[in-house]
Amino acid sequence: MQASIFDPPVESGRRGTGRVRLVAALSLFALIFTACTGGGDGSEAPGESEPATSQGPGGSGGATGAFQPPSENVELTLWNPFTGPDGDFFQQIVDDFNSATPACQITVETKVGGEYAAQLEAAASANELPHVIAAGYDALPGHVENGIVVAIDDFAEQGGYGPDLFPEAIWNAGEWKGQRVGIPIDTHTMNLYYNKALFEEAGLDPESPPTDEASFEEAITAISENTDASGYQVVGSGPGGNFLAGIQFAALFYQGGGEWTNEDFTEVTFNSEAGVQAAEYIAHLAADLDAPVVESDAEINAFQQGENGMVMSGIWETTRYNDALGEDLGVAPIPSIFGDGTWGGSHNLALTSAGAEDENTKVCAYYFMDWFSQNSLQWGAAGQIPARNEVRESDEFQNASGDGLLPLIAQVAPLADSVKFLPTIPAGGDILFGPQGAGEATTLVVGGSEAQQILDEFAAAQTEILLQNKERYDF
Amino acid sequence: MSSMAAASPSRNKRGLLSRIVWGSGNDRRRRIGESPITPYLFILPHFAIFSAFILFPFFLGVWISLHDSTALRDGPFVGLRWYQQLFDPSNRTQFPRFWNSVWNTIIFVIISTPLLIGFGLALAALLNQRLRGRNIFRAIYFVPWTLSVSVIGLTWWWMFNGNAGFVTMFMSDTFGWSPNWLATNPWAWISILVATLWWTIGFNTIILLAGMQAIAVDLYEAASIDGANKWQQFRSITLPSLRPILLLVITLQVIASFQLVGQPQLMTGGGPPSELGGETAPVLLHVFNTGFGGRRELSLAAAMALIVAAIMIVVSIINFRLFSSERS
Repeated sequence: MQASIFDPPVESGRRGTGRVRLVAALSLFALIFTACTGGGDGSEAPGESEPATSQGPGGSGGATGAFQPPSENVELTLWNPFTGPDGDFFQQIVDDFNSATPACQITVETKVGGEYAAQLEAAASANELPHVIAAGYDALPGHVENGIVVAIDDFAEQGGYGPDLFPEAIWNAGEWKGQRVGIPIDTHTMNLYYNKALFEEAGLDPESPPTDEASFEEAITAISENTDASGYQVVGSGPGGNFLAGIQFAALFYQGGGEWTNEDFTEVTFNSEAGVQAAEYIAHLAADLDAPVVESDAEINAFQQGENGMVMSGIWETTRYNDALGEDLGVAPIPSIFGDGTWGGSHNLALTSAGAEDENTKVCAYYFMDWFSQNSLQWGAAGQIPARNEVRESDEFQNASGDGLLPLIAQVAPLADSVKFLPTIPAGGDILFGPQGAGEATTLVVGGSEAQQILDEFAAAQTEILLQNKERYDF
Repeated sequence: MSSMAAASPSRNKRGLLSRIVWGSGNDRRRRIGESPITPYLFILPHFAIFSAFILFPFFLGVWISLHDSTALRDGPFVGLRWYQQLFDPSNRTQFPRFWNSVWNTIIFVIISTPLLIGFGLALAALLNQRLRGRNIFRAIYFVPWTLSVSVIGLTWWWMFNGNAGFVTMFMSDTFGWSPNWLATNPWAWISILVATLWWTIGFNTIILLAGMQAIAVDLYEAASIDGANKWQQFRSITLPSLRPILLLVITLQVIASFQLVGQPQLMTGGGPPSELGGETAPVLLHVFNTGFGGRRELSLAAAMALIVAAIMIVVSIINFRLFSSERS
């Protein structure tokens, strides 16, 4: 259905080879052109800035002794959705693991994020699932219900994994129907990125980023009045509009103490006071502080080009911003408008039904998951906040230096303790990002709709969907 | 299908099965060694492919639309639940968004078809002149059509980008003002139209040009001897002679415009946002997002797709009627 009739049909090639060559040359040009525009953010080789280490903070890899490598040689397949530079870091960690553990060898396959779930489902029906996957916490309940991922309570028990090893919200996000279904490896939060050069030009102190409502709004006004750049830009539409407006909404919603649903999942509650004030605040930035309303990603491009002074972005943009701005890039927790807190996601490692089939593969998978968790310092260098407390508290992390991302990540790492998540239920992410989700409501409020009214309407629609899913998946 | 009728023109009243088994004995045109099964064998390869790729998916689609399925989970039978949601005006989640996207698509068809035909015709007329390097121009106009929608979408997204887009910057520098192309209407629709025009105009142009070149030159010679100017020649000779081809191009264009999906998906994401799910969200994008985005409501998407298919069949029948009346 998505194939367009605009796709060229076969052409009768009567006009000789000159035309064919011309077309071929232009097609090649087009291919190169797309490759360039599409891949501008991901060419940095890993391990250049941060030497690869196989030493975790706990000493030698996997040395807690709770898990042992398998007794015979096992080869595992692991899928992840890390198509950016982070994929190279992931591969580096796995390479280190493979050389340290001859009996358990892991092959990584990276799948395009947007089609990740679909590819897993296709692999499940073809009986070709990988053994271990890395996936967002929000995808896990659906994968469990579809028989892709299996519960690993025995892993948590055997390895002593629990809420004391991780921030509580991060740990709890890997649980579905009272079962442990994923081991968190990171959290990726929304942070404040600011341009130090523009701060200086606007007469602001580049070393003290805004921390609250007053200083945030002061910075916006100062930059837009004293420089050619915008102080801040508000996303109001575009292909990524619901997502980008959504994480902005969620951060302020969490700051105001908002909850997505009631406790027994029978009602969606983002139309609460916390939701209304969050959406109204974003609209206020556009209406009263002259922050231009732009389509999705325009604010990101403008920030890279020095035409936007501040941007709140997911942590995965750090590499791009670092490449574009270098020394001028400042990173900080987002300002506390209504309190502390920010939006975040969390990647988990999970065991698939294929991995659980055989005792040896399972042993190997468990050994790897434990090893990865302990060695996730290296994962911090990929631009993610390591989930494990002892990794974030280690000296190597806290006092990280150099050109890599680790020192920048260390600056926002305290957010790991205040970040909150969507409910871990099938399609839970749709409450924020889906049709009639809070993100879409935010774009409408930015466009002039009345916040309470639109949030009420969308929350009611989301409640209908929630009840339908509740019946489907019995939670 | 027609080969069946041509190869087996028997007029006997026996059923198909008995004819296959016993043969049609009184068929005068049967030759030695020819089995009555032969025509069916001839259509078998196509029928097999047709069944595998058209019939089976179609009935699977109907089946899925009557269940509550996701990609993996064969859900329970739910009857007409999804159709009810799509046709019930009091439904808050599905009804308004689906029909809004249908309406968006119709708007696009109505606006884009005359433009794409008009410009195609004009370009074809220009390229039909005897000018130097006309083959190069023909190639240039045709080349965009060989690109994929992702290239087109990304290129024009960059061109119209709100901050650094070429068009935006050019207009700001020249006029001191530029619309927010992709985020406000009517500019978002105009951006999509421009991208579509740039991309697909070559196809219409080439077909129409081929039609024009088939028109006998003596008609024009006779007309010019009679004192007709270029415009009169175009109106009285080119257009009427081009009519069958023009109808074909219009039909193809209406269908193509109905299948709009990639350009808004990549350029506007269906926006500017509206309470009905976006002002430039076409129906096929809505179907795709329903089935493969977020909740992955495969069954609901299947029901939508079937309704769209029904609409397309109606449109095709209207087109077919136009063709038939032209022939008679």
